[in-house]
Amino acid sequence: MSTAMPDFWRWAPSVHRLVGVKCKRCDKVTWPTVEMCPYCGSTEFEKVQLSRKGKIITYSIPHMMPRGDVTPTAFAIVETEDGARLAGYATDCDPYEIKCDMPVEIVIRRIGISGVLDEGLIVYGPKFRPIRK
Amino acid sequence: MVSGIVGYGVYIPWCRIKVADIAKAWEVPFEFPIEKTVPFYDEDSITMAVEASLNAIRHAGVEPTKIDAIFFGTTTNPYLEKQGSSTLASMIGTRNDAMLADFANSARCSTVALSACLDALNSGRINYGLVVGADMLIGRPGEATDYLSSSGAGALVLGKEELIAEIEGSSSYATDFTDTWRSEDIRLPMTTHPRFSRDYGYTPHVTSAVKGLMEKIGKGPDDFKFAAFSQPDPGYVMHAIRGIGISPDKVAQGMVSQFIGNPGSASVLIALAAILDKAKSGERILMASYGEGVSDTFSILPLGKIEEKRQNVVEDYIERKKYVDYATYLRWNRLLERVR
Repeated sequence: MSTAMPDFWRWAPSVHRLVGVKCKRCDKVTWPTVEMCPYCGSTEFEKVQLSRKGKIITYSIPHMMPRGDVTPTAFAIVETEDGARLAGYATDCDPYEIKCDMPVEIVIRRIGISGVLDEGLIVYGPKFRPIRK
Repeated sequence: MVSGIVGYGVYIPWCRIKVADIAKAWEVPFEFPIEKTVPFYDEDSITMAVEASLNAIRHAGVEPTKIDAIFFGTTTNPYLEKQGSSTLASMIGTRNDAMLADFANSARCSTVALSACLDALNSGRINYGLVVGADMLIGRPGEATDYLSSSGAGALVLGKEELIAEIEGSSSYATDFTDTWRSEDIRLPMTTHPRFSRDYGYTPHVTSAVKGLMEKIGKGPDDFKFAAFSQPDPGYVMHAIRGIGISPDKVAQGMVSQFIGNPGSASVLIALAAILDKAKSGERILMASYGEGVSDTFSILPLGKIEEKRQNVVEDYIERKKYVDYATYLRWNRLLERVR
């Protein structure tokens, strides 16, 4: 029996299609959907679809990862155009390419240990890709 | 009211491997394709399908909530049991009452999905349908499929209004022919000798299906300006067109396999997208898929709207690339694993 799925299922709208919440009191946008605004403590929200574009706020490059994961890889905090902050891995790039303020787009990829948890369970979530033209 | 294409999109992974690198490892020269796509280690058919779908929906200018049905074709669904289209719908953000269906088990599943979507549109059951074909094929190291099998996704938004191209007719030809197979106990597909596959599989089935289509809609080879084929091997296409009377210049624009390899069910959709990127109003397109003894063909007529919504997606994706070596390719696809 697997016990990992219920948690991922609850977060699906946020991790699959970037649904966040906008505080009705202070107008700040938070991701994922939360019960209380981390900025002002209000519990009144409206659901919003976040922009898929943002920029890197800060990052680190881990060289040691759980068994099965590809290293090195960049882990970053990204602020979307709406002002929400997400934490996650960078993808489709050389990790040393990542710089602060770099524009990125948010894409859905496999996350976790090589994307497979709990006897074949695949988990998807947001990752960050440098915008290339 | 006629049904047709409202928007289209593709997704081609960022990484490539030069086929010469694979040939060097096995000491077996192989001329075509020149290179093929390599999925990043965190990609699969679903993630690629999502990107192609979002590109198609953006091009169509339709809200995801307006999509009434998703028809998803892939031979490499990450799960053997668990629908891919429901994950896709969750990631795109379609309505909960949208009709979802997966099509599988053959490289032609994307055109089966297209036929199903057209039927749903023509019956009046849906207003907008999304057709997606995505595959992440991994070849057997050292065999012909190692040089050809690749990854990618293509998507079409079909509807009845604001069409960029009309779908005039379709036809199929099927026999029980086996040239690629994968059973539960093997991970990588088995294939027959390429010449057997070409001479008794690809060429006769595609030729018969195309002739059936031409008879059905009363058109000849000269009425088609472009042709988009499934490209399990670029050589198969050049062999098949001789029997149909289509000249090589008509397939040239859609011959993307030399740059991206064979992305299975996505192959024909990416070839079609490459042609739609360039086709002008009235320049009729022949589309033919092939998968294990079945070929589906379609006649597609671009309309005036295609000029207004002109994009250049396939070329953009093909140009955006980074080369990886054979060892990285094997490692990412779990064909080379660390011994601890």
